[in-house]
Amino acid sequence: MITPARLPFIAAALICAGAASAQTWPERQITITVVTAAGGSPDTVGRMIAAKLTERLGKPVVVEINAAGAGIAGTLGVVRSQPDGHNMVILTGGTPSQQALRPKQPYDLTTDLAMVTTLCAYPMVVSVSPKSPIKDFKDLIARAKANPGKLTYSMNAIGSLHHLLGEWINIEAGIDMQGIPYRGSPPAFMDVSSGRVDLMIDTGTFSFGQIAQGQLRALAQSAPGKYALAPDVPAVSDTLPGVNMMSWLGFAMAKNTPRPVIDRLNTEVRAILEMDDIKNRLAEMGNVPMPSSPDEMLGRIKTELAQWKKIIDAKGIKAE
Amino acid sequence: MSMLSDLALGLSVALTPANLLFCLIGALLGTLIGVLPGVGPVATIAMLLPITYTLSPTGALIMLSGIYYGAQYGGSTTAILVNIPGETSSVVTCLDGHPMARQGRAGPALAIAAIGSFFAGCVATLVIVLVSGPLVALAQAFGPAEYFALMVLGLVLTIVLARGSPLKAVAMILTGLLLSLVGTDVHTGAERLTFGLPLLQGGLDFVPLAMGVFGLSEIVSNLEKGEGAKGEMIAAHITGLMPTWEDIKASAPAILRGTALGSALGVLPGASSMIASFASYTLEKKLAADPSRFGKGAIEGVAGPESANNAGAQVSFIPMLTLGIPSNSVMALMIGAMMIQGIQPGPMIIAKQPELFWGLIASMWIGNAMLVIINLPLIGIWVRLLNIPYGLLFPAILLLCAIGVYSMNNEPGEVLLTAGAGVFGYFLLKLRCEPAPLLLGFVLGAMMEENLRRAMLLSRGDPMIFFSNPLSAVLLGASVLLILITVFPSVKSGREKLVED
Repeated sequence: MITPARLPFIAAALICAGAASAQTWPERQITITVVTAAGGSPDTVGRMIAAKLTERLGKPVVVEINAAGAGIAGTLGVVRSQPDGHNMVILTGGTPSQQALRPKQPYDLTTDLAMVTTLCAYPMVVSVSPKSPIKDFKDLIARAKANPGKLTYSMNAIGSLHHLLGEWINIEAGIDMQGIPYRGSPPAFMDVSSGRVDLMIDTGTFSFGQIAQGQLRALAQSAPGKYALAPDVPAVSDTLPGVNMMSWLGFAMAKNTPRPVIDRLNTEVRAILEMDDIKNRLAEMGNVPMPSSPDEMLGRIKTELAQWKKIIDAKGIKAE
Repeated sequence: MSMLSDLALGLSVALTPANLLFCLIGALLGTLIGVLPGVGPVATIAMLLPITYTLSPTGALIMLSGIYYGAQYGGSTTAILVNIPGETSSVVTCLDGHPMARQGRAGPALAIAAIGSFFAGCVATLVIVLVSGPLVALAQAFGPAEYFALMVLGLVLTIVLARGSPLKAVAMILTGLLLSLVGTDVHTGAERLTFGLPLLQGGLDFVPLAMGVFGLSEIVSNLEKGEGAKGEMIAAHITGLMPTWEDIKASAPAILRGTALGSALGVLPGASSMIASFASYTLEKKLAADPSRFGKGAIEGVAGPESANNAGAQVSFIPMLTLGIPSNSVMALMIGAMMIQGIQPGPMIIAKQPELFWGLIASMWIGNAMLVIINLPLIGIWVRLLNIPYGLLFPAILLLCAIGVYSMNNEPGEVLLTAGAGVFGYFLLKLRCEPAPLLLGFVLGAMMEENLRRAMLLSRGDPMIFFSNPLSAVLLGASVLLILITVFPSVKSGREKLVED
């Protein structure tokens, strides 16, 4: 029986177990769960880092895709896994926005997971077809004001970062652009390039490539200031101060994972993100490395949760 | 001529020993995973992506493409032999391919599938060379309204697919549409028919459903008939491995028509190669002198759709190579593979990397030739598989299905889902309801709904958007016409019955 008197012993035993496992960790294969489709940036970046971790930790680190159940099943698997440091999930900038939209998810992001580190980040990009009459971001707002409710932007599902940026711009600029949901960037791009939809709000990963090929023209990007990989593209916040967001990828484990394990992983990932080949490949995907401490990562998630809740409440966005 | 010199450049790249080897590895690997139910090209290519980093960009892409079209070949083998469609596009192959196998004609069915695919592959390669420009324009002409109209036409075509009662076919399509609603709605974020289960939030997946309603239910009914108990073979007598002249004469026009359909529809993103395959089936059934043979082992019903889906699969490289836009998840992975190599897919690729572009295209032709050479001698081995006592064969099929489904998402729940779909499929079989319209309704329904709502959002609620633009108006008009053609004969015969009474 667990009596209050015994609690200190149990706690001591747990701490010892934790310390022991941190010394011998990793004991076996480490699995990184990716909860989005194969070939997406979490998968690609996950596999890049898994290969380097395998070399550095001496045990295989593998990526497993579990995109079943819109990613909830895979995340839940890690939440419920043994907190011994052998199961990780890749969270994305979209994870807090989904939590903000669906508070009734079977887990709480901020309390049921132990953050390890963020990996990389990229801004969202507002762009148009090269044939579009819209000249720049200020022109976009002027046209939207002149034609209330007429302009459309392509986005991902309800409550995605695409949607939240669109609505945040709507709120701050006092305009009323209509978001059109798409499943993924390619069909959205087809409709934007043919002029059916006026503008595209999409990830830097997708947009910068199309912009480099001349298939899209950038109006603005959502980094807090100049974005290192696209210094010519003005920031949204140049016109609408305070409107900025970065999407990111990050590792998390089951809560109660021993801190020494998390710290070791954090150190290794930091070192990996310093490597030139990793930096180059991230840059090709429009990403910059963004290591952080576990607390910084948790702080980022909490800040974003609060920010997204504000937009969701202001615009009455509901998952129903 | 610049085109000839382009092709020559491509052949010189594709025919280097290293690239030939990559092509062969890809084709072999593709055939293998195609034959294994559930293990698809998406999972395989995703797993191989990190390895491609160490290869030359051209070699990597040649190998990955080989896996893709190799899997199309292998997939039809499983569809014909054991009635399990591993990919959306092989659903239609099951309809007549498997009855052929049951009649002891698995050899001709496999051979004609391989020959049809080879011919379609060759033509599609030429199509890519000659008309990728105009085809891209066609793809861009398709907006939400046009897609919606195309899906409606697709669903109407599905009714024609069915053997037996059209009423049951309609019921099956509607059930398929209902199943496609399961999951989180993209437009509102609402959860529909998920019963609070996290597993269902992303919707039902095609593979567990298809495997269950086609494959597992087939196994159950075989066992019920006592084929398992007695250790009988699926095909008691095998009548020759190669198609006869009659077979080839019957198939040739179907192959030509299927190739044309596949090449035209393949360029559209989404389930285009599947729509092509059953559009081809419908066409063959309509054109046939005796449509009642279909579903009972008509060789045209294998030849046409197999050519269509292979042509479609190959043509789907066009938007990927020329626009950097993937038309399906395999193409998305190809783009990933290019980006790993530091190549940005898009319009500049032909100018900047001609040896990669033309080398890849030439390799597709070589790869298709290799596949025929690999597959034709293998037919004897595949057919002999049917001679294994069913009591040994069916546990192996079940196991492979379970592994295949589990490997998609590493999610045990989806294996249970497959089992559930199997029970459901068994009931459908008992009720004499065809599962094919159900699956097509399932696949098309989701896209139809999404495009309908997107079109309505863009038109701000004005339904005229579907009729004001000519392309969607024509497609919808064709659907109405087809319904009338299908309904009127039965109305007439119904009236005749009334008169007789």
